Amino acid sequence: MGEYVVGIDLGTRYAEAAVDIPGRGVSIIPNRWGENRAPSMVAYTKDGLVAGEDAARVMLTEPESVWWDMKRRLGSDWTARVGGRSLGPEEMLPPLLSLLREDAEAFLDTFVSSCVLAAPAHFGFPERGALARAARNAGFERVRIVNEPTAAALSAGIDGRFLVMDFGAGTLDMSLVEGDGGVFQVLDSEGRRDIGGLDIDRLLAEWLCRNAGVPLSRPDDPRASLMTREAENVKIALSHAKRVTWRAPAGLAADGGRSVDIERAEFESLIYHLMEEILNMVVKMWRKYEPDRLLTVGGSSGIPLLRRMLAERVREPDRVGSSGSEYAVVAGSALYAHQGRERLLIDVLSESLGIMNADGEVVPLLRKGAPLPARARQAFTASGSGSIEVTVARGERRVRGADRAGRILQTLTIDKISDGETVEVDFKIDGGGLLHVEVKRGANTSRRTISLDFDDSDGTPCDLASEMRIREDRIAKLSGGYPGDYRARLLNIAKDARLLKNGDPSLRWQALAVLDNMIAELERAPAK
Amino acid sequence: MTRNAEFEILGLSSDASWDDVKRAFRRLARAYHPDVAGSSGTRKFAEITEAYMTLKDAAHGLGKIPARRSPRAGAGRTSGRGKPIFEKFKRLWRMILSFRRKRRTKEKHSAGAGVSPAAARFIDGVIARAESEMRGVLSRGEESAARVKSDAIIRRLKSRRPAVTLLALGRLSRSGVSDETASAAVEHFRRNIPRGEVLEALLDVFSNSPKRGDMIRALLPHAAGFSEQEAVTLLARLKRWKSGAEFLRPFLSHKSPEVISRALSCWPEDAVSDERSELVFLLRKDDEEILIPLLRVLKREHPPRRAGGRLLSLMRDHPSPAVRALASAIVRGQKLG
Repeated sequence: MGEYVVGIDLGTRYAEAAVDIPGRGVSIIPNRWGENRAPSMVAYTKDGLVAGEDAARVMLTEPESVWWDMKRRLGSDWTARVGGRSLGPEEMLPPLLSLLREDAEAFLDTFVSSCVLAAPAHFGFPERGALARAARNAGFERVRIVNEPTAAALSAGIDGRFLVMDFGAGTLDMSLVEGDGGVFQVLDSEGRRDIGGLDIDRLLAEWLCRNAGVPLSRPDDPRASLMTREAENVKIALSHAKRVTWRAPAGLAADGGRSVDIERAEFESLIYHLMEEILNMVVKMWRKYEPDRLLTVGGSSGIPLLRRMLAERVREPDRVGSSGSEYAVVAGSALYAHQGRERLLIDVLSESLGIMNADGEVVPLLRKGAPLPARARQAFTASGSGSIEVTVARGERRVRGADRAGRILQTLTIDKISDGETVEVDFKIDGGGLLHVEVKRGANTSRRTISLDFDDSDGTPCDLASEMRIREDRIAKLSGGYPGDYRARLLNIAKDARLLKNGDPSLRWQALAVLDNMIAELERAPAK
Repeated sequence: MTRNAEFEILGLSSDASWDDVKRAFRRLARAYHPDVAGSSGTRKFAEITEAYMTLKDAAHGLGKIPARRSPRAGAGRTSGRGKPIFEKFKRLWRMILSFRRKRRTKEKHSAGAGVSPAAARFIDGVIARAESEMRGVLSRGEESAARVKSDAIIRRLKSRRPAVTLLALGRLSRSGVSDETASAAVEHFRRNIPRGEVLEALLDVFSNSPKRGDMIRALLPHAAGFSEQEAVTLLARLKRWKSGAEFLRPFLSHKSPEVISRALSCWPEDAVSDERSELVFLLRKDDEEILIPLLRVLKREHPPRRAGGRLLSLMRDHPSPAVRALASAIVRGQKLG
């Protein structure tokens, strides 16, 4: 049954959605304002939270009740004061995601409850989990996450080894991808969250203020974001013109300020050190893998200086796709929804995951570079009773004092453990790019499960099936000695559990628990 | 395990190059990746990625001997790592064993062998308990699936985008309106005025619902805010549903004479008399299309004495003969003159 799955590129500055319709290919979904992309903004008005163009309009009158650049704050403890409440990114993004969902529903004339969300490659699991939760708060029941540069690679759909550089407003991401007859395998990904087009805008805004006699606003001043947007427009104009004249709009300068001319050369000297830094990253990756092609996506990759430097020192960059590089990520996300039909993308784990012991050593369970989805289990036997802590950490090096906060994902305390008890830690990264950690203790069947999800969805239908199979086998075996009708009833109970396809995922685990109890009782059966 | 095993998993001979390994891995992924093969591919995919990772380490010179048991692991690994082939045989052997056992038990049963009464009592108890527990889980599952469905509809009903609200109403007209959905809709439209197509679809959906009255009451405060066409649509429904005067009254203050006229023309016969003052108030209007239905209603309603002056002037001076005739009929009938 063909339910539509929309691909979403929730950019720092613009949000876009697309859908891959079998037989028709990828369409960019026009929004309610007739545009292909909506500003990634959320504003608070008397009607509640509004997003997109509606929020951009509020920007003109009440810039202090408009928020943007929220995606980069996912997973952090940033909050916005909204109508007397503090809301984190997970609550601020849903209006924007709902807007995209509704536009898709109006476009496709049906409910849409599944999406593929593109996320920066450097996003860790907590950020991905938060992004998925935001999407679920926006009414998406099934969410998968794909890396932005890999999505772009998927939409490019070319064979050979290529480096994709995704340079957007808020992030710089690179992925090294090998295309081979419809299979796209990611070999390496790297990203920086501290370099983006916004940084260029801020540099330029500063320059413009200084030269036009406009007082500089503090970064938390709403006028500062207005100024950055002004700078963005100047920056874009400078990609096409050699010289741009700018005059501060009313509201920024009390006396209107004076108009100021900026030459492209002046601008380029302003951003040169940033470009140099980016280029070093590209060159490093290029030397390591020696790819055949360089693909660029993202608005900021159009900067002439960057393209010139790339052409001189690396390779003439190709832009992805015919629909323009701006839509490469969203088109790739839409294609990823039909992953496995014509194109198969195999992404890799970008950092090792493991369990940290008391000395800060990390025992890796899943290694960097492992193809996804992946799963690993590790069993420990307790020596001595009491409580133990299981600490999930990323990276492989020893965790030292300073990087604890960044490296430790979660710590779980297991109480009342008895000597010799087995504790099993189960790491699973599902096809949607989300991490699930489970700690199981006790004997195989009647085990208690503590879930350490970074994502509260279950995303585990496949796994459930295999868990079911294990129990069905066991029940089939245990029921061997009983007459046929008993056996049939026992097996029917097991089969019933498979009916729980929709609804609250925790019920599926409850069904497994029923089977586990039954198995435990059967194991204690008296002699026949 | 030897490295040969890993080559074997990938279907390669042990002298294969790293490029061969990559190619083989991708070819197998095309068949066993869970996105292609579903859950049945999970195990095999884990096996081939494991083999691939080991060979990758080896190819990049990082490879310790692949046949390692991590010295740091306290207890043995329980993942698929390092035992795929053996595992396969074990499974096969288990299958054979269980098959043989099955055959044996079958023979036993066909020979009439049963279980002891104690064992039967025991198994009955186990089955009954498990069945009732599973029934509980399944019914909670059905409830929760229904809730997910109705949450999805309610969320879209509340959309600011009419096209999406229409989609939700379309779903409701096919599936019927649950109480929960109905109350959510009533609450929503009490605060948000449904326009045009949305209003029509909403009325269609609620026309056979027991919550129809609640919905209409929620819409009435918007009466003055509806466009003429919207108000007329709503009034047509109210007429069909034979709604009482309380539902019609809010429309008497609508700015369109057409709407007032329609409201009056479906005024119920048995309307209580405390509506009269509003009707008398309307006598001040001069529009023929309002006055004619209004006078018809008043004729039934025994207008109060204070209306007499206006009725007399309508009888004498109104340009429309129909208005004059109706007014005079009332004046004569009630002896107001």
